[in-house]
Amino acid sequence: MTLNIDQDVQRFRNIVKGRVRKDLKKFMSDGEMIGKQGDKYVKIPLPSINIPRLRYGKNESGGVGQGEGEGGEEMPGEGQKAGNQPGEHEVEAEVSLEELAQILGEELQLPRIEPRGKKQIAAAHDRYTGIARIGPNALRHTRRTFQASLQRQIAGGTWDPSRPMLVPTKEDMRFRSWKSKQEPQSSAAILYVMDVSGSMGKEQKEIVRLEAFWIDTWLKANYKHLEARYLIHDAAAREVDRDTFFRVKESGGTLISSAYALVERLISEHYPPEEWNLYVFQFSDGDNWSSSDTKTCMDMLRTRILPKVNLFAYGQVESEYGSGQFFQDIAKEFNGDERVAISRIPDRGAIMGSIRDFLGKGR
Amino acid sequence: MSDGLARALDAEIVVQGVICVEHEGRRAEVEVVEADRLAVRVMRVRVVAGGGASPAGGAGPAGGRSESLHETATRLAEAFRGLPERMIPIEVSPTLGGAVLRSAPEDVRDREYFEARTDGRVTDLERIHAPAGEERRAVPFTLTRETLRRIVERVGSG
Repeated sequence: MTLNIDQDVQRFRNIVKGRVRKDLKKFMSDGEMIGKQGDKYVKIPLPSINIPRLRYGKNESGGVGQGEGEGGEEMPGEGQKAGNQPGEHEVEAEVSLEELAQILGEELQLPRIEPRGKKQIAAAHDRYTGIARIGPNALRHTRRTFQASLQRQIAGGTWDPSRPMLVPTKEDMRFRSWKSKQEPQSSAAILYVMDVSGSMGKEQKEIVRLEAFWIDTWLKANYKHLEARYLIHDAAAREVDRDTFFRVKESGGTLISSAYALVERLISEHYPPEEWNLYVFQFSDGDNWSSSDTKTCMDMLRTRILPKVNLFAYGQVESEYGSGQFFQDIAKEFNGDERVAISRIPDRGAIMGSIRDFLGKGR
Repeated sequence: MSDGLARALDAEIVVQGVICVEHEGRRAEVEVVEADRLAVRVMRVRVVAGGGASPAGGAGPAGGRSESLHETATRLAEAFRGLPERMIPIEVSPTLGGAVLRSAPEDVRDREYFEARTDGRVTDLERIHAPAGEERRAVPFTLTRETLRRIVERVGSG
């Protein structure tokens, strides 16, 4: 019997997708999947089914169903000892980041992002639309080559319909050729900003890491060209690489305006708003050092950052010491502003809702 | 010297309200909610060290100042040893000229903890209640007179 492998593969992929869909909240709050992330795929654990099979034992060697027993009598056997056999490993399946983004979008009912009108840059694409007389053999166009050969023989009177035979010469050879076409392409940049002051603990950073992964996944599915920059701050802000972003621990105080100043500088130096779709995602426990700095932050946001970005998202994680005042301040100041999305993230379970708050605006 | 401050404060605490005493250039300010012979229930304790003793003060170089603030935070953590929860420096920022100490995470119960803020000279101690998803607020806390005396004495002795 022949199995249609394609059907089976498709069925398997549907099972995997179904599992991701079913356990999306768990996956979103669980760093395990992200730990197994490649460039284009993530691995997800799948439950495996052990197919029952018959095992033959020795007859009348004692055990269950092998004669009379007394109440409280111990079962024969080795008892509770550490095993020396290898354990069973979880089966893993690969899911592409595109599929993951699709599932995320469907489950959270996220609208597709509409790039801002002018935020497009031209990118060159090669398309094989032409035919050339010279080229590499790998690009030889067989049908057109034989057509040319036939034309040449008919024109030269050497074509014999009763004995059809075509022998292409060098002049008959035709090759596929490409044309470079400038196509508009939307580009986006994400600036992740994280407070790494002493009050932000390991768990808070893990929550930020998980959020950042899902935000990345969604935005990558919406933009072909996506750049991510990572900024950290305590009393001073600096740019770091992705790895440092999630691991660094500082003990200084929190001065949020230092991060906003860096965001503004990066935007003006690298991301002209007329060419880029800009997203700023800020994560903090909301413990700004002083109310005067909070006031400075609000001014900077309103006048210097918001006019340049598609979305400014502020996620407030909660530490052992609760969360600070910044959330209320930003909520009060920018209530109803479409460019601002705010979300409280008290624990990992709140990540899913937070992603919806951030990306549900379709900006 | 600070012992004198602590004793003066103790003598003043008989009714509720803000009690403020000064002794040899140091000042203690306590917002008393309730008091009896053995214990006091307070909202806030503020201790102002003398000008000369301010680690963050003075005209020293910035580097020297930064070291002093870390030292102050460590000293304060020790000074608060009489509290039922261990205090640890959470944020120490020479740039911002201050430090925050809080109860160690493992000691935090029912979302309440002690918080002390200092600029090197003025130190405030409060107890904070931080319900999930809500604003933090200061709540009254109880100290024995002995513990309060010791805290004021040690914090003010910087």
